[in-house]
Amino acid sequence: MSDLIRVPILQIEQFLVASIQVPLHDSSAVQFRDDLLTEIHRTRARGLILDMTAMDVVDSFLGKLIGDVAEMAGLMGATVVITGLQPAVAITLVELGLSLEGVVTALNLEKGMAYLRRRLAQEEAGYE
Amino acid sequence: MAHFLSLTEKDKAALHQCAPLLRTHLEELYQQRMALLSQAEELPPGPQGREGALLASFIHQAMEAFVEALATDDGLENYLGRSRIQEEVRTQIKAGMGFNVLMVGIASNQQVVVPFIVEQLADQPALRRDALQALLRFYAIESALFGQCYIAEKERVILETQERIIAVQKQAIQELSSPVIQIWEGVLVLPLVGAIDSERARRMTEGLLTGIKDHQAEHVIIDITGVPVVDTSIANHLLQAIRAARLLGAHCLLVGINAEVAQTMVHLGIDLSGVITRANLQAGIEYVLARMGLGVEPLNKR
Amino acid sequence: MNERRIPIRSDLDIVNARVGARDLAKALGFGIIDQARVATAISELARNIVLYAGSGEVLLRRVHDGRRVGVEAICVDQGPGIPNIELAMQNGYSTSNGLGMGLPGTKRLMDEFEIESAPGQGTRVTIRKWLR
Repeated sequence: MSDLIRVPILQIEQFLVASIQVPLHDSSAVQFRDDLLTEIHRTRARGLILDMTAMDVVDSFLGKLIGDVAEMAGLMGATVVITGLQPAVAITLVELGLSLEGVVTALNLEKGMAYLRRRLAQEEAGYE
Repeated sequence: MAHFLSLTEKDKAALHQCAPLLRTHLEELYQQRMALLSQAEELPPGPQGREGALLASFIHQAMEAFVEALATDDGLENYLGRSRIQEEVRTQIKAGMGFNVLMVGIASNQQVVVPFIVEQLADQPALRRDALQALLRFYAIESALFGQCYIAEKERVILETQERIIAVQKQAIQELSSPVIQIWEGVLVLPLVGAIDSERARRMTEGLLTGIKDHQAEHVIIDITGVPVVDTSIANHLLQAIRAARLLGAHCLLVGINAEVAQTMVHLGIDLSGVITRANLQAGIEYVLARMGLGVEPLNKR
Repeated sequence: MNERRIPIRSDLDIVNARVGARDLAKALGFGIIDQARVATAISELARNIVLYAGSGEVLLRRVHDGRRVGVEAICVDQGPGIPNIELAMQNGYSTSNGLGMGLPGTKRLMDEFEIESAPGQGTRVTIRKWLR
């Protein structure tokens, strides 16, 4: 059993923020997904930002995992925003055939937060 | 079936028999050849040409190699082989020697060796006949091969030069064209002009994403008014670019599809569903501004 | 270093292969986007080794074709082999666990892609990318 890397999950305003800083091997990625969903459930968070700024390579495993997290979190009432994808990673994922349609994206953490705030405000005003 | 330009077994046997004779008289033949060459107008003056020690050393080595080659089947095959001759041609061209010089080389060899064989084998008419026939064919083959290799090498050099020029020009064009233009805070325009191949599409995508990052853009208007033909491949490149841009949080809008392009796209079954399109740049800008909650109106309102 | 052999036995090694590939591509002068393509392609192939064969090896090296410099990866395993390569090379093909082999995507990322595999004979995938 390999040493699992645990990615810290922070709470900022009423959202969760996790930033992947190191290459994640598959088992750690799976653990990360589980941790995220557990935290969303625990905190009843309405939004989660997954920051990928430090990742210069994202392969299909992690790409699909991110898509899964967004879908699963959505079922739990939380909007996931993927931020900080690098151009090299974006191009590679698209060439692999993983466009992550249906997953909200933003250039960086600030824009991601801005989006979540707007969206939360809209939802609370009844514009679901 | 044997090739026309090749030595027969009989030729080779005759040449093998001549080899020892030529080897014994090598120095004498070499002197005769140098005498001929010093008169050759085709050779340039200077150290590599008529007067030079360089030529002398070259010719001596050449004669040794020639005599050596005649002695065995392998020797002949190698001597009349494309790789040796190609190398020879390449070296000569690099040294600035023209085709005439190569031919003078062969001719001077022939003009020295043939009379020698005629005289030396006077008492062996059968062998003399076979040897002369073999030498005739030998020199014909050598000349033909030199000709072919010379032409091939020249063409190769021309092609290489052309490719280099094209690469340099391409670079210059790329450096001149600026991929993205920011027309409003967070709004980019990417005008595409001309034919788009894979290479250009790749560069366009990279430039687009860099532009989105640099300008923190959330909207991009891709204007293909200037693209004459949009086939499946180009459409795919555009879709890839748009998908990649979306992963950076930017929404792309496609404008400038004219009637012909629209027809082609439908005929080819290109699916642009999911991509917002507008007729032209102005319509695109209006759309984007509206999405941002902005509009354009006259300054003096009544 | 022009050549590096990475044994693949677990998902940790997938990361080793990915990082090794990225580093080699970077050392050879590939831009960051091509570095990502190369690293991703090798990551996919290394994962296939873990998923389908249990263990194998990735050989990374610098190659030269007389004109250009490139990076090459040879991914080998003694696993069960691929019964139908043509099928595996089709877009959208996926095995029972839904992960799929990612071969068409890997091919798209690289310049050259060669695969040899047969049931009982293991699998060998060779990929290359040339510096422009």
